Amino acid sequence: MDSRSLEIRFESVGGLGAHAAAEALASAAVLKLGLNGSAFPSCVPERKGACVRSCVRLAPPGQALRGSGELQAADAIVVFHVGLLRDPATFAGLRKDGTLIYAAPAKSVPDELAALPATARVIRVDAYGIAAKQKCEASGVLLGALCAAFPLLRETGFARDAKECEELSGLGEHEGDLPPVSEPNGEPRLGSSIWNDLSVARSGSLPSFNRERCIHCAMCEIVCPDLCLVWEEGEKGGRFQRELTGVDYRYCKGCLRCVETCPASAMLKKAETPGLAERFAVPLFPDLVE
Amino acid sequence: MTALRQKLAFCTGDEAVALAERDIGGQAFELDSAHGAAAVCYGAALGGARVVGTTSSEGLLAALEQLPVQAGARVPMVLNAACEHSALYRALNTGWIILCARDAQAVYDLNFAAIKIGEHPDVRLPVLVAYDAFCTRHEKRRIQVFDDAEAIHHFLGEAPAFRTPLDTLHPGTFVASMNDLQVSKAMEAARCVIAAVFAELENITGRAYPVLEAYRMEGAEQAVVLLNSAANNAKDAGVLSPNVLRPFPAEEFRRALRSLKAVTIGADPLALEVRAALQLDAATGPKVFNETSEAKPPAADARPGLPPLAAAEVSRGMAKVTRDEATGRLKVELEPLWKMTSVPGRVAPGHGACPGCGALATLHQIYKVLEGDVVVLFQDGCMSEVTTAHGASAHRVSTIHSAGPSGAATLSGLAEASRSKDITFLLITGDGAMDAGLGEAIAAANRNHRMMILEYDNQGRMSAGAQSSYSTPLGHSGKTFHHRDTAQIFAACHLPYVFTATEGYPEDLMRKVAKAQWYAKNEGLVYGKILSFCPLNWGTADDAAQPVLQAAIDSCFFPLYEIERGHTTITYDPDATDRRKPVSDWLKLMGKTQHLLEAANSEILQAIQSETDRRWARLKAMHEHPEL
Repeated sequence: MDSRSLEIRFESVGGLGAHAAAEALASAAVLKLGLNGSAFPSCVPERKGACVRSCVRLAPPGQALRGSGELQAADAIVVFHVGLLRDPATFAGLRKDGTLIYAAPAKSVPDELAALPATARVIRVDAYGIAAKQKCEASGVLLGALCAAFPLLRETGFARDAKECEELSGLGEHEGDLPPVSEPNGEPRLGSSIWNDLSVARSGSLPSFNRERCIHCAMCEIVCPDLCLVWEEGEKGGRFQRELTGVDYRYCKGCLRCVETCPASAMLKKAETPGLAERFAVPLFPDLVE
Repeated sequence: MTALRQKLAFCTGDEAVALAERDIGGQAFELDSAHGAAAVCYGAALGGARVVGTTSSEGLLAALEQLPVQAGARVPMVLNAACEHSALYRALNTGWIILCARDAQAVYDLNFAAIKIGEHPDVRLPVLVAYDAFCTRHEKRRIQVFDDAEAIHHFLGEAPAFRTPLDTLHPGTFVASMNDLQVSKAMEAARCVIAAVFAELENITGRAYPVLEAYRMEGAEQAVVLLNSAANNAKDAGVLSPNVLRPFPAEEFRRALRSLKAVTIGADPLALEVRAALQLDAATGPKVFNETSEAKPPAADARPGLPPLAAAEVSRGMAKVTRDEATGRLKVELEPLWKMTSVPGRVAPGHGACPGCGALATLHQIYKVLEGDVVVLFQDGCMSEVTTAHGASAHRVSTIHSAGPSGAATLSGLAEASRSKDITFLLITGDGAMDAGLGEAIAAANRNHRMMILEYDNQGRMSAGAQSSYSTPLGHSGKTFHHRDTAQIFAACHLPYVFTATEGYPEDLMRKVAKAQWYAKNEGLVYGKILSFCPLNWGTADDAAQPVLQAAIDSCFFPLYEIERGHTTITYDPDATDRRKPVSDWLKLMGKTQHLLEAANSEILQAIQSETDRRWARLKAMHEHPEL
């Protein structure tokens, strides 16, 4: 990479505004600052809840932009959802002098950050907390944190107060640049989607199941698009032949259609606090996945 | 000529085409399928209009049949093709001039050049402007656009008055046959014209487009030959990439390569032509490698999946179908929903559908009642994409993913080739792919193959960013005409069974699907249109399926009925239960239709209401009269 250019990857979930933020950044850099630049979305259109990656390349005005498409390596990676850090592909290719910015409340330090280069800069910003307080978009807060962290980007007009950000040190243990992750290819095996973790698709709420209230009518089952409800044979001699035992939150995208349809108030909307889903999850494939 | 005034823009390849179309001036049309669009463009160009069209990978392949016809008839136009190289290679020898645009700037510039080249009296050929399907198409880049209408007009000149069938005083026979020699002469003549037009373009824009572009080739001993944006990605090597692919720049390649030691060619069809160009220097020229000859075999997905489902595991008798001897019609007895929880899913969790996706709920309900072995063809659209996202598969039975909208035809061939009477052949399609492939689906219906076509209708091409389809109602996303009544179209094919349903009424849907399977196994083709919730593009909360779908059927916008052996039965009559509502009660529930409730759009609202009432009244008449 040329020392004067900048390659930035936005790692996000459809609906959180990463494509828009990447476009806004590159567009301001080109039209306002006179830089050369590009913005590349990993998928069009952006599906709600799906993993989304947006890539921005910036270079000085006279310098032709080489490269297009997804960035295998990056100087900065902005992570819109802390759950994405569970997948190493999220920070793959981060350069040893690179910057990782992630959205999470204070004190949240996922173990996965140990895989980062020891020399990389790590910045945490409570984007969702700030956005809720100031009634603005969290994507704007993250974009502001990114622009505050790079002198080249301060003039875009997006930069926010650096005091909102916490710079963390001593997390990464990796020596040198992180290698890019190679995607699996070839014909996928039947049912291999069960390895996907879709919990990042939830936007703040999940259905909470109360087994005492449940009449096991399966009205929820028949409208659940995520196929994440767990059913078992009922207890011998019990009232029910089939019983709902819980939700596998790995696959639940939090649409709450089960809550809306439940005639017995056994499914209730609940705000998702850290660790809640893990605590109450009932696995669909306990012998296979994790 | 002096430089013209320009201004800065930041746009994708597709947006660059739109800007070029705007600056060239004209009227826009949205068409149904790529094949149909190519034919419409040919007609307009025959009429003397200056035509700029757009298509994409599979679209180019669908349009392919039209391409040699238009070149042979010597009718110029410009077709922008955002495509995979593999698709572009199929169009190499169709008689079209092919310009390659590696980025959004080139897409914009080459559209102007293409018009001028194609319309030159020595050339009179249509021109393809090819750019990469994903990279160039969707990547935003910094570009310069013209800010000087007069200079553009001066550059392009008036559209030439070639002979046209509209000139009834001078009748002609417009055929493409036996024109190969003419076309190849025109193609040769194009070499000089292209050079002159590119020079003129450089003169006014300052941007050069050499026929063969060289990057880091000074003093190089080796080079890579790459096409379009791929050439932009090579950083530490000498790169050669053609801006003009037809006529093929053989002499330019020969001059650039003959003194090198080695050249690697990044694409097979290009390799043949570059090797041919180097034949004259066979003894002294470079050693030629094909990139693919060195390619490693693809690595298989290491993660285990779920075991395949045996037919017996999923055949649990959840819907018992019996024939009523008196009426000849089928009766279905459903097991309770809780019992259905014992049926293993033919589709697994972990798919990438949006939260609240109704198409997935539809698929889930269909699978609950289907018995035995099922082979499913997923036509291009959301369901085919999200069930195979992230390099994984959510399917547990055999599925086929069709290229383009020909799924009904492909499945009919498969059904005929099958010796087993036990397999049910099921086409799952969105309304978008059905729109593009309606002709072939109707042909399959006329042949009455033993198969099911089940359409999850979410009122648009949602996998293509909510573009409109035949099901998009009037006034939704700017649609200017009513949605097509496809259930009635299929009814007119006199199929054994046609139905409408919605995932908001699972029992009704499952009863109809069970009947449909019986008819597909015993009598012939069935068609079902299933209204499915799309919170993302309908602009609703993720959990709003029930009220929105209920309002759609209560307003009779989407009536629930079945046509069994020609007899229409309304299966839900909101008049009878006093639940009938005006369509506005449905439209007000969705973000996408809020504008229709504004006073300024009262005429559109009234038109939707009138059409809904008219179709409902016809349906009631059919319900009441067995002869209808």
